[in-house]
Amino acid sequence: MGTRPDITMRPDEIRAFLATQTRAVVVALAHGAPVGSVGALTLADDAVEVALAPDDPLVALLAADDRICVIAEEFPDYRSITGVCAHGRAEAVAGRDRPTWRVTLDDTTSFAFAKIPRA
Amino acid sequence: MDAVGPDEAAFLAAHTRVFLLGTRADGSPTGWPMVGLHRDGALEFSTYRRSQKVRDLERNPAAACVVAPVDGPRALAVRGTAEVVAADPDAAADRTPTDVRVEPEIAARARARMASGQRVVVRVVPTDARWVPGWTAE
Repeated sequence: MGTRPDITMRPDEIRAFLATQTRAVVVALAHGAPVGSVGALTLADDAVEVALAPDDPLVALLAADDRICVIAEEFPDYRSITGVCAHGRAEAVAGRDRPTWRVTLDDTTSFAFAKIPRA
Repeated sequence: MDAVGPDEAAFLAAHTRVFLLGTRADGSPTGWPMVGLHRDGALEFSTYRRSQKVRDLERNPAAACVVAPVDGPRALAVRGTAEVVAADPDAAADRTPTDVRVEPEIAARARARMASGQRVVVRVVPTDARWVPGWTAE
């Protein structure tokens, strides 16, 4: 079996990709089970900020358990699939129109299919 | 009562951009952007048997999905339980979604890996579904 190519992204590539994204899937926990929603995404230095609707059930879930995952992805075609998952603790951001959390980019998984060598 | 009504079922049948969600070994949430197909009352995902997501979902089958078309104002958030089953390469060949642009040689390689057992199917049967803002929502 051959060695699988490394298609993870460097930190600068992750930030560059996230800077182009405006929406993300947000994942919280309810009694140990994942619960997802979609939020507005912005890149803020070495973190991302995600905003949810005030009535989104994840608002209460994140208040009870701040473990969070934020997933940004684009799939224009197979060779261009790119994605980043940021895992961490949700830090509430004050003074925004909608409930907003900050998540650092210290624990990420990423993939860029453009890095797959062509045969 | 079914967790998925007719509106939700039609949405699941029409869209294949799905984020499969689970938990890591430490219990924290995680997820994987996938192509998901709605079949026989479940969302199905083809993946490698030895993948991290299979290990995570076998450890804790509590799962969720967000079905989020890139051009849609609404998405569907689903909760359920994941099970890992053997892949059927013939069924996969019959169900290639028309909105996923994959080169023929890549699709053929995936089918060969299903036949060899390298790939499996993760099935998530919905127990709850709710609408959430989608990718193009304000």
